Amino acid sequence: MKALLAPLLCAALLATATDAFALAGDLTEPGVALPTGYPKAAQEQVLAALNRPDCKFLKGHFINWHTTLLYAGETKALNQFLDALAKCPSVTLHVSFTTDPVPRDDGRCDWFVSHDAHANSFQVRVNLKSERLKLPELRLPVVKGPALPAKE
Amino acid sequence: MKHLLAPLFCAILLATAAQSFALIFELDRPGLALPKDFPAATRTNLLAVLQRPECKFLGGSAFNSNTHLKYGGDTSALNRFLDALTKCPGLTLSIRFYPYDESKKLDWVVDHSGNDSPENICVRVNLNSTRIKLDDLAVPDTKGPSLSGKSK
Repeated sequence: MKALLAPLLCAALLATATDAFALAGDLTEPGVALPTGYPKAAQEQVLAALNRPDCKFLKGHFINWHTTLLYAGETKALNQFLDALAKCPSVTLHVSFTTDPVPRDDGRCDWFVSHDAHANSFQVRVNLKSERLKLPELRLPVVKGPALPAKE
Repeated sequence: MKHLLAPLFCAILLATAAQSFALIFELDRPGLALPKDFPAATRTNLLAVLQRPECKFLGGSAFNSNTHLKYGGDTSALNRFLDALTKCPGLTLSIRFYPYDESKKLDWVVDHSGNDSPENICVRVNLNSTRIKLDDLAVPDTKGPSLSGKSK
């Protein structure tokens, strides 16, 4: 039995190593991995939302299906960015606020986006230390409750 | 002609006074002006949320069908308040931010117009609150329209 332990351990280590293999890189323009079968028109809508000219793309990177994009801009640009993303078919948009330093930021980032392609979910984190963003002017997309029961 | 001026002036003043007559009153418990045909399921859920015991009602005012409700509470209470609102059928929630006077212990307010859009409710978070931590604020998720075109 002991003779089997070494090869088994090696096999387990190799299996873990294979699982941990990841595709990663930096992005020079905004983009995300989208779920298989996501319609072309919807893909274009997402890309248009991420490439708004009033939202300055600073940098981005991806690891497998996770993407992070850093932006700079005024409150009005952020409002329109959020509104455009909320209108993209089948996406989930989550907005949160942070005072923590933005990863890989050189001090210019006003908000950053994390995207998970499997869930097609966007998390937009607003930098509370931003000097350009004015919270009283922030317009978060409306949240709709469940549909009313159909009338008999 | 001159002898007509005084009565005409009085008539104009009275007409203006009648148009600007409005009912303003203070509220000692949470409530909203809702139209008679407002869905019962939404009404029941909504009123239950507005009266959550962990959200301290600080008073409110009503002007015709417009209602302004003031609340005190911490971020957890506000998060649960927002989450519960998003579960009310047919309701649309907007979240805004405003620097209210903190000396009144006000943490958030609810604004509602029963006349224009009774299904819309706006929660304004006090940016000067010492109890609300924006880092911990859980803004409810927004869902994009479904791929078939129907809103979720």
